[in-house]
Amino acid sequence: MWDDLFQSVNYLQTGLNGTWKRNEVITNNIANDDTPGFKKSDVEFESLFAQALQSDELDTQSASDYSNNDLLSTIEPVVTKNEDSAYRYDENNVDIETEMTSLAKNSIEYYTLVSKMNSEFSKLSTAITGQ
Amino acid sequence: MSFLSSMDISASGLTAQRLRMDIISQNIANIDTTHTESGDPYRRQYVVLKEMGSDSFDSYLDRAAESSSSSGGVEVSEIADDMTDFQLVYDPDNVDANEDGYVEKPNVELSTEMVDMISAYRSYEANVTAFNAYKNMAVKALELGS
Repeated sequence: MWDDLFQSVNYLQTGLNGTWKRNEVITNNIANDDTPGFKKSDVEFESLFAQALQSDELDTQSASDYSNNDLLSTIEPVVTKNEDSAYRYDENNVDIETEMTSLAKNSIEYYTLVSKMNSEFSKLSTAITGQ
Repeated sequence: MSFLSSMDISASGLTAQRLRMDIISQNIANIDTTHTESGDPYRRQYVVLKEMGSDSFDSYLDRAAESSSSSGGVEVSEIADDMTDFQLVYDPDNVDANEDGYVEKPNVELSTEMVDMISAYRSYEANVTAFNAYKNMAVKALELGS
């Protein structure tokens, strides 16, 4: 029961972890905007999360327990280095416009998740206190 | 990944870009310096940046293990001398002029320096924006559950 209670909070937590890590990686890309030979990194966790969620739904349909809940909460954001491309003569592939856009987008995603999580908590609080 | 490591990354970017600005300023200030301590004209300097920790043991281990590498920011690996030739200018009255009346002027190009300065300035701004984005996220994280 407690697992169910905090299920959405756990989902949101995965999102918060992922966007937090992505912010760190984007910051590093921006800091190395002028470093010769530097290759940018990306963070991927949405697709992993979607995959896990899909298998979770299948399990639920077959009336089994939330067996993949653990799987969902253990999803770690994966950092990949983009080694292939080079925009400039110095072999650096950081496009500052792309990075700034990703930064803004990522921040908004993070804010959205935080406010969603806060509303989950206030819902729980309402259910507990009844007011 | 520590809680405030992104701030250190942005700070390293700010430090590196500020040093670039310092060196550019020095180049512009010495654009007409024909006589330095060594007796030569002023030689243009430039900053070489590298990813912080990219040659550390940790990063080699990460690469060998193909795990996600730890990100550490940027650092200045050296302040190098630009070894391009000095410009020769005819100015026989100058005390540094050679017997033909030519003076060796520093290899500083004002337009190059100005372009580099804008580049450093914009990169500095980008780091400030990243820093603020991170700061706002961290403040938001503290509001969780409130």
